[in-house]
Amino acid sequence: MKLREAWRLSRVPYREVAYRSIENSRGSSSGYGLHGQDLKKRFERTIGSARTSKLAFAVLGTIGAFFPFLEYFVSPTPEALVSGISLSLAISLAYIVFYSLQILPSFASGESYVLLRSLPLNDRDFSLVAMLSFVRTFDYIALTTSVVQICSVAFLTHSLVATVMMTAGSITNLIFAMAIALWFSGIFYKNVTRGGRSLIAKIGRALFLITWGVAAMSIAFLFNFISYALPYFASAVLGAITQPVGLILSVLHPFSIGLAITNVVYPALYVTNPLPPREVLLVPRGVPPLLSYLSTFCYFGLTFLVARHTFESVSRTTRGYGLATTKRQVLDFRLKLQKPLAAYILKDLRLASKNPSLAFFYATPLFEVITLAVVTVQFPRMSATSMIVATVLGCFFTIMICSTLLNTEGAGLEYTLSLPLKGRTIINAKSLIASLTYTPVPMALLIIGLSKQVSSSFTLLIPFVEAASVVAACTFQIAFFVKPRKVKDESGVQIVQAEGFSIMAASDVKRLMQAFAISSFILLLPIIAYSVAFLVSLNHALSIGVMIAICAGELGTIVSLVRRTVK
Amino acid sequence: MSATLKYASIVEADSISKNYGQVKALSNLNLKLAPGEIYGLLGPNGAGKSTLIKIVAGLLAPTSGALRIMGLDPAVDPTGVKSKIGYVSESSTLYDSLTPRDFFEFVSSIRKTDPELASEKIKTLIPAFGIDEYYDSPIATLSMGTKQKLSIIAALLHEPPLLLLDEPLNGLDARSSRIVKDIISLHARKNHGAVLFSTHIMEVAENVCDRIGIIYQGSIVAEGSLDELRRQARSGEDSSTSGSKETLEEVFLKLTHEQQEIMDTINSLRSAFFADEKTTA
Repeated sequence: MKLREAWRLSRVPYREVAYRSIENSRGSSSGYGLHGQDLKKRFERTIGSARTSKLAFAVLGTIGAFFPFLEYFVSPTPEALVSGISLSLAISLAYIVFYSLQILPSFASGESYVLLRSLPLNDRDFSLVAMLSFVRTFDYIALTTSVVQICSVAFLTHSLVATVMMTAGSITNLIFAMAIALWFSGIFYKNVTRGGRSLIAKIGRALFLITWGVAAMSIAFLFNFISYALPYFASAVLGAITQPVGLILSVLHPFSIGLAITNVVYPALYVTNPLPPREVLLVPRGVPPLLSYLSTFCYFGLTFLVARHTFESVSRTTRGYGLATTKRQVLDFRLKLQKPLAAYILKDLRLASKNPSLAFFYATPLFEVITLAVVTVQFPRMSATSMIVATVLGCFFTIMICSTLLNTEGAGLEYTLSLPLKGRTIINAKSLIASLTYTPVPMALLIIGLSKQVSSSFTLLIPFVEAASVVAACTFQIAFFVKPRKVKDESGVQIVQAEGFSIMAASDVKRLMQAFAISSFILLLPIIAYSVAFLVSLNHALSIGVMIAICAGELGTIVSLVRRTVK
Repeated sequence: MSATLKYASIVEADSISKNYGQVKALSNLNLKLAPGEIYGLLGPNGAGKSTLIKIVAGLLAPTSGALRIMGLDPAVDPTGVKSKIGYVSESSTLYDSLTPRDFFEFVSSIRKTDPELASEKIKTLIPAFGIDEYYDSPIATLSMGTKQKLSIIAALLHEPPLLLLDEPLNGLDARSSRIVKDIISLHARKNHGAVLFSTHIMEVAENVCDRIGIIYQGSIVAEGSLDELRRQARSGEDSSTSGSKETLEEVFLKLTHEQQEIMDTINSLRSAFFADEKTTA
C-alpha cells in the first residue's frame, strides 16, 4: 500500500480514537437524550472539537518550541544557540509525551481498530495504517514544532549542515517522544492490569504508581533542572568542562544535538576560547564536542531502531494484544462494603490508579513536598512573602488534581447514574480527595518554617488557613462540571448529570479554563486580603484574622450554593 | 420482598412521551406493571424500548406524562426510585479498570446493601455464572458476555422489587441464558418482584413473560399474553387465515405491519443476489 493511501485510510481509526478518547474522558452519559441526527451532529462536533484542540495545542507547542530561540535573536552567542536548540527539543519532547499520554488509554484498548482488523489488509499495511492513525493524534504539533525548529536554525545560522542536522534532530526527537509515550503506557498496563490481591502484589503496584507519578510529573520538573544544568552545559560549548553534569549532558539527547550543531556553527570555539577564571580543565578541550558528534550520530542511527520498535508496538497494541485476560482461582468472595461517600472515594482512587493519564495523582503529595523544599531552599528566612509564594504553589497543585478527578468516570458513568447516588455525594467525594492532596503543603511549610527564621509566627498559619479556601475552590471546580446542565433541544430536559473533560476537545478546554480561572480567584482572594490587610495595618495577627474571615466566607458560600443547586 | 404486594402497580406510566429534538421516541405511552409480573417489551430497533427502560430507571426524564415507581415520582425522589431498581443496560458499560470484586463492592456500598446478604449472593451467583476465575481480573480484560453477567449479578445483589433488563441475554452463552431466565421467573414468582425487560428473542418472550407489549414507533400497539396478542393480530383479517396457531414472530410482524414489507425486501434481495430463486408470495 502506498503511503498516501495509508494516510487517507488512517483517518477512519484516528477519528474513532479521538471520539472514544473524548467520550471516555467526559463519561458516556453525556450522550443521554440524544438520538439519530443529534448523535450524528454530536459526533461531527466532537471530531471538529478534537481538530480545534489539536490546533490550539499545536499553537502552544509552537510557541514553546520557538521561545528558547529568542535569546539568540537578541544576543547571538554559542551559549544562546546551544540552549535554544536543546531547550526547544526538550520542550517539544515533553509536550508530545504529555499529549500522547492523554490519548493512549483509548488507543491501548485496540477497540478503535476492530473494523480495520476485519479488512483484508496484510500485516504491513495494517501496521502502517495503525501507525499513521496514531501519528495523526499529534500531527499538527509535530509538524509545526519541527518547522519552527528547522526554520529557526536555518534563519539564525545560515548553515546548510546545521539545518540538515536540525531536521534529523527534530525527526529523532519526534520518534523518541512517541516511543517514550508508548513505553510508559505499555509498562503501566503490564504492571497495573496484572491484578492480584497478595500483599506483595499490592506493595509492588503501590511502588510502581508512585514511581510512575513522579516520572510523569517530572516532565514539568525537567525545566527547573534544565535551568540549573544549562550554565554547566554552556561551559561544555566553550570546550572546558568544570562539572561532570556538562559532560553527561553532551551525550544526552537532546542536549547532544544542541552542542553538535553549535560546534558546527562555531567550529573554532572550543580551541580559541579561554578558560573562565579559576576554572580547572578536567577533560581535554575538544572531548565534549567530539562526544556530542558521536552521540548525535548514534541517536540518528538509533532512530531507525526505535522507529521500527514503535511501529511494531503500535501494531501489537492496535491488534488488541495490550490487555490479556488473567485467570486466577479465587476462594474468598466476601465483599467489604463502605458508606456511600467512602465507597465513591475508594472507587475514584482505584480508577485513578489504573489509568496512565491519571495515575500521577498518587505522587502529588511527594512531589509537592519536593517542590516546596526546592523552592524554599533559596529563601534564607521564611518571610510572609516566601510563605505566600510556597502556599500558592501548593494550592495550584491541588487544583490540578481536581481536574484530573473529573476524568475518572469514563464509560462507567452511565452505570453510576443508575445507582441511588446523590450529586452532592459525587461532589463531596471528589473535592475531599483533591483537598486531601493539599495536606502535605501546610505540614511541609510548618517544618520548613520552624527550621528557618520566620518574620512572624503568624505567617506559619497562612497555609493552614488557606486550607479552607482550597476546599472551597475544589468544591467549586468539581461542582462546575458535575452540576446538571440543560441540553439545547426543544424538550429542554436536563440530560447531563456529570461530565468530565478531554484535552482533545476544544470546548472542554475552554470550560476547564473558565473553571480554573474562577478557582484561582477563590484561592488568591484570601492571600490578597492578607496582603492588603498587612500593608494597611502592618499587623500579622490582624491580617490572619482577615484571611480567616475571607476563607470561611468562601467555604460557606460555596457549600450553601452546592446544597441549594445540586440534589 | 412481600412489601411489594401492598402496591397495586410497581410501575405506573401514564401518557409518557419523550422527544429527542424533532424525533418522537415515545408517544403517550401507558404501562402498568403489577407485583410478580414479568413484562416483555418487543419491538424493532429504534422503537423506543431502551428509552422507556431508561425513563423508568430514572436515567432519562420524560418530556411529558406521569410516572410512579412504587408510589414514588422519579423526578421528585430519583435516589429513592433508583434504590428500588436493579438495572442492566444494553451496552454493559462498566468501569473497565475495576475488578469484578471492586465493582460489586462499589455498587453494594452505594446501594447500602447488607454486607452479609451481598456476600452470600455473590458466593452463589459468581460460580453459577462460571466467572469465579475472573473475580480479581480487570473488567477491561473480560469478554462482552462476562461483562453482561457482571451487570446482571450487580442488578440482583440488593434484591430489588423491580428489575429493568435491557436486552439482558445479549452475548450470554446457553447456560447463562438459562440461569437468567430462571432467575427472572423466581424473582417474580417467589419474591413478587416485577420485571420489565426488552428482547429480540421471540422464544424468550414467549416462554418467560406473563405479558408482552409490542412497541412500535414509540407506542405500545398491542399488549397481553401470547394468546391475546394472536387474537389482536387476527382481528380485521379474513377468517380463512385465522385458524392456525401463529408463532410470536408472525404475530409481531403482523402487529408492527412489517410482514408485507419484509416479504417485499426478501424478494428484492433474492432477485438481486440469486437470480434463479423464485420470489415468495
